[in-house]
Amino acid sequence: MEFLIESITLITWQQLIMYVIGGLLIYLAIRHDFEPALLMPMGFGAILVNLPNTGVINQTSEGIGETHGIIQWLFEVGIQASEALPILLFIGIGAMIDFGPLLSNPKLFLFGAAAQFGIFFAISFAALIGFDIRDAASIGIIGAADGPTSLLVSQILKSKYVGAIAVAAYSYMALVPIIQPAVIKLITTKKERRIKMAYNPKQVTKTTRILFPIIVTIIAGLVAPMSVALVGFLMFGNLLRECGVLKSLSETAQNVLANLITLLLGITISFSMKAEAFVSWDTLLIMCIGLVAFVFDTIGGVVFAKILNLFTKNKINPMVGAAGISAFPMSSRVIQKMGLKEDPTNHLLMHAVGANVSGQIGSVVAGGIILSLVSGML
Amino acid sequence: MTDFLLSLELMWKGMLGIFAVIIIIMILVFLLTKITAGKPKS
Repeated sequence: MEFLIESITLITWQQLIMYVIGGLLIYLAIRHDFEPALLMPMGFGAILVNLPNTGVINQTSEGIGETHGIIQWLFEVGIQASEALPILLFIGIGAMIDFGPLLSNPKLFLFGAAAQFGIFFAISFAALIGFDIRDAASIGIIGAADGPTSLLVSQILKSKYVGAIAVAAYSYMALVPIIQPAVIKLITTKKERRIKMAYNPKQVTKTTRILFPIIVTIIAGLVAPMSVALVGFLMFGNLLRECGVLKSLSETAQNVLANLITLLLGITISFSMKAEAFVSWDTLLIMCIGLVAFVFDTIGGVVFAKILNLFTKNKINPMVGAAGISAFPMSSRVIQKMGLKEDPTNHLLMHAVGANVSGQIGSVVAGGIILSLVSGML
Repeated sequence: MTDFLLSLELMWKGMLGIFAVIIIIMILVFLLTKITAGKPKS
């Protein structure tokens, strides 16, 4: 009867920790609605891959030889070999985004660049405490506030911390409503937070909406060729949405495709959450650096808005700068809520949404630029 | 220390690259908006 308890005796303390982490992710997803579409599958997957002799990863058994595990296969095919899952998800994300608020006020583009500062600050911080440039860049990209970009960059750079990076990226995205208000309050005055911004949207023609994704792809592709997979698929999704003749495909991308890939992505990433790689001090450090990245993204956006205010007649509420991260729509909602709290007549939502969708472009461009620059440094 | 210096170079070049891409796109969108003004909106 020994075979009944054989697996139990093989459980290590690191695996027990992973069961707790998996349970915690599932709890946060269900109880607190923290990115449930990703954290729930990742939590469950963390338990699956850490069962002794688990059948979801490749095993070698006496008499049988090697057997293939489904999660390992999904990881090797869908992420490791081609980065297909995160890239295909961008089609769905692109089809979901309405760039209208940004196109009607193009000045907001600038915040999508400024709020990427946290990525580079975090890279320097990680390098300073001892990570090599490859891992530091992979960890810093958590500051893109964009799960698929973080996954893609860390995977292409062959970082050994893909699991921890994915957990940090998705966890902090869910924590944007807690992180951003605290940071914004620290670096702005009440007077600044009460600055009102008039909303006078310009007409956005259909031609502009159609040409926009094509222009973005070409410009980003010429300046940072490595960003083409990210930007190109994001913009392809957006072109499906805006072209007006592919309504069915656009709806499929927004719903079926995005849901299907999200479903597989979470449980596939869990392959990189095996106890022997995940349970380490480095994981804790990565979680801390991820927080630093989000904090400095917010600081970068807010400070940039303050700098612009020195030169512009129509003042910008610095909180709008903080919405230049990719976490959409959480960040714009946070800014709207904070604006209304300071002054119930101050509606910043559309400005924040413009900055927020610009952040979606900024984050994928940042990912591509990092890949280009780091590959030249290695 | 070498990695830290590389990271500072990455910060400088990275932020420059992002702003370059974003500003070019912004200018083109401004131009596009001007050129297509007056046509029926979506």
